[in-house]
Amino acid sequence: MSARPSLPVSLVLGGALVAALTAAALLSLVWTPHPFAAIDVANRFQGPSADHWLGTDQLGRDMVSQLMAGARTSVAIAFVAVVLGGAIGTALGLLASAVGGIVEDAVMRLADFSFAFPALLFAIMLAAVFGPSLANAIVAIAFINIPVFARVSRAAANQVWTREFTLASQVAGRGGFAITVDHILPNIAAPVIVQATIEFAVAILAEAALSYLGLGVQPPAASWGRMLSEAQTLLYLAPQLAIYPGLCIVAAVLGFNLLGDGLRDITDPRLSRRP
Amino acid sequence: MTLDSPILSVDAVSRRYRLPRRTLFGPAPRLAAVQDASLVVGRGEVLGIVGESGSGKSTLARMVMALERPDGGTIRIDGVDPHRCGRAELTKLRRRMQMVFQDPFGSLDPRRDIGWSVAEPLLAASGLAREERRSTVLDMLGRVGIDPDAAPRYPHEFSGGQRQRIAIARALVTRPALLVADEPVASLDVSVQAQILNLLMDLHEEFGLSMLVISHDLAVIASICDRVAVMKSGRIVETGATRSVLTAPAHAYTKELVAAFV
Ligand SMILES: Nc1ncnc2c1ncn2[C@@H]1O[C@H](COP(=O)(O)OP(=O)(O)OP(=O)(O)O)[C@@H](O)[C@H]1O
Ligand SMILES: [Mg+2]
Repeated sequence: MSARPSLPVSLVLGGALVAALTAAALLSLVWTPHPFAAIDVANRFQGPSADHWLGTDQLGRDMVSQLMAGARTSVAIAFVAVVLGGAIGTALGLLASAVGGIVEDAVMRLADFSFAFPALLFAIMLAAVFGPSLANAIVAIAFINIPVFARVSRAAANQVWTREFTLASQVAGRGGFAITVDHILPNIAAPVIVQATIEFAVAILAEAALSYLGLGVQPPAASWGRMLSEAQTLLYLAPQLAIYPGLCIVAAVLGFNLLGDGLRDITDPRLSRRP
Repeated sequence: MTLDSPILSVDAVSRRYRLPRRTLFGPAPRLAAVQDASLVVGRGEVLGIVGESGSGKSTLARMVMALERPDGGTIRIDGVDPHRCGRAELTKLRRRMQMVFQDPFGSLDPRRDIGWSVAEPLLAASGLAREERRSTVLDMLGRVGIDPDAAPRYPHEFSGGQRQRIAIARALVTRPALLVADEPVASLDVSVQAQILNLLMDLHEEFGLSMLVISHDLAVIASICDRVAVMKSGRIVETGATRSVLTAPAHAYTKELVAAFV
C-alpha cells in the first residue's frame, strides 16, 4: 500500500473542500433544513439553535438553507460558464495550433487584447448594456474564460505537434482535423482540466462579485454575493450575516485552487515529485 | 510508366532552412540542409543513405514523404510528384509510401492502444469495414512478431524493440510499395537491432517492398542494402553498389567512413 507515492496535500484538501461544496449544492436540490427563501420576520436575527443551525438573517430566513442554495447557484453558474468558455477557448487554441500562420497570430492577438481589460469590468459592462440576469452573468464569465483556455490549449497543442507520432499520423494520410481530434486533444486533456479547475475558482469569485453588485442572479434565487451585500448595512448589528457567506466564498475558491494545484502536480511530468 | 521504372526518383532536390537573424539588419542566414541531391530507388530495391549527423538525411526523407516542401528539384513516387499533385492524389499516394521513425518511444501516441495506432493508416485510406480492419491489423501484428492479443495494450507496456515492431506493422498495414526507414534501429540494443533488420528483410522479400534505409551506421547499411548513397553536408557525394562502395570507395569522405568502419 505504502509503495504508491502519496497524494499531494493540496489535492486531498482541495478535493475535500470541493466535494463538500458540490455535495451541499446537490443536496440543496432535494433538501434544505428550511425553505431557503421563506421569510419569517418574527424570528429574525436569531442565534444558532437546534432549529436554525447558524441562526436567521434580517428577514428571518434560515442561514444554512440560504448558504446551501447559494452553493448551488455558485456551482451551477461556474460549471456552465467554465464549460462553455473552456470549450470555445480550447477549440480556438487547437485551431490556432493546427493551422498556424496568420490564423494562429490572429487568435493569439485577440486573446492578448481581451487580457488587456479586466474580466470583471467586462462583466459589469455586459450587465449594464443587457441588464442584470443569470444568463448575462454566465455569458460574461464564460467570455472571460475563452482567452485563458485558448492560450493554455494552444501552448500544449504546439508541444504535442512537435512529437513524432503526429508526423507518423500525417504519413498515415490523416488530415489536420483528424489528428487534432485523435491525438492532440487526448494529449492536452490534463493541462486543460487543471486550468478548468482553477478557472472554476475564478468563476465562483466572479459570480459572487457580480451578485454583490446586483448584476448576477436576481431574488429570490440565493447567492453568496448577494447575501454579502445585504449584510453590509448590518455589519455592526449582525456581523455573522456577512461572515458566513464570506467564509463560504473563501472555502470554495481555496478548494478549487488547491485541487487545481494538486492535479497539476500529479499530471505534469515536468514537475518531478520528491521521492 | 513501365514496370521497371523506379518506384522513387529524387532529382536535384534542395532544401534551405531560414535561421534566426543574428544581426538586426541584413538578411536572415540560411542553412542548406540538402543541396542538389539526386537518387533513384528501383522496384524491390533497398537503397541505403549513410552520412554523419546533420548531413541532411532526415530532411531528405521528410521531403520524400511529403512532410516538407523542397525549395527546388522534383520528387516522383510511382511517377507522381507528391508536392505538385492534388490532395486526392496525395491521399492515394500516401498508401503507397510509409515511414518508420528513429524513436519508437516518440512515434506511437501514448494515449492510443497499439491496435488503434496500427489501424490508423487504414482509417485514412477508408474503404475497409471495421471487422476487416481489425483482422488486417491483427494479422499484421502477428507478422512482425507481436502477439495479436496485445492489441488493446498501450505503448508504455512494450520494450523499444517491440515498439519498433509495432511501428513497422503500422507502416506496412496498407501494403505500401515504398518504405522509408529513418534510423530504424539507432535507438535499440545491438542484439535487438539484428532482429529488427532481419524482420525488415523478411518483409522486404515477402511483400516485394522497396526500401530507403537511412543510417549513420555502415554496419546496418552493409547488412541490408543493395546500393548505398553517401551524404555529406547536404550533398550526395557517392552512390553505388554497397559492396563496391565498401571495398573501393571513390570519394575521400567515403574512404574515411570505411576506414573507421573496418
Ligand atoms: N526545422 C529545421 N529548421 C532549421 N534547421 C533545421 C531544421 N531541420 C533540420 N535542420 C538542420 O538541417 C541540417 C540537416 O538536418 P537533418 O536532420 O536532415 O540531418 P540528419 O542527417 O538526419 O542528422 P542525424 O543523423 O543527426 O539525424 C542540420 O544542420 C539541422 O540542424
Ligand atoms: Mg536524422
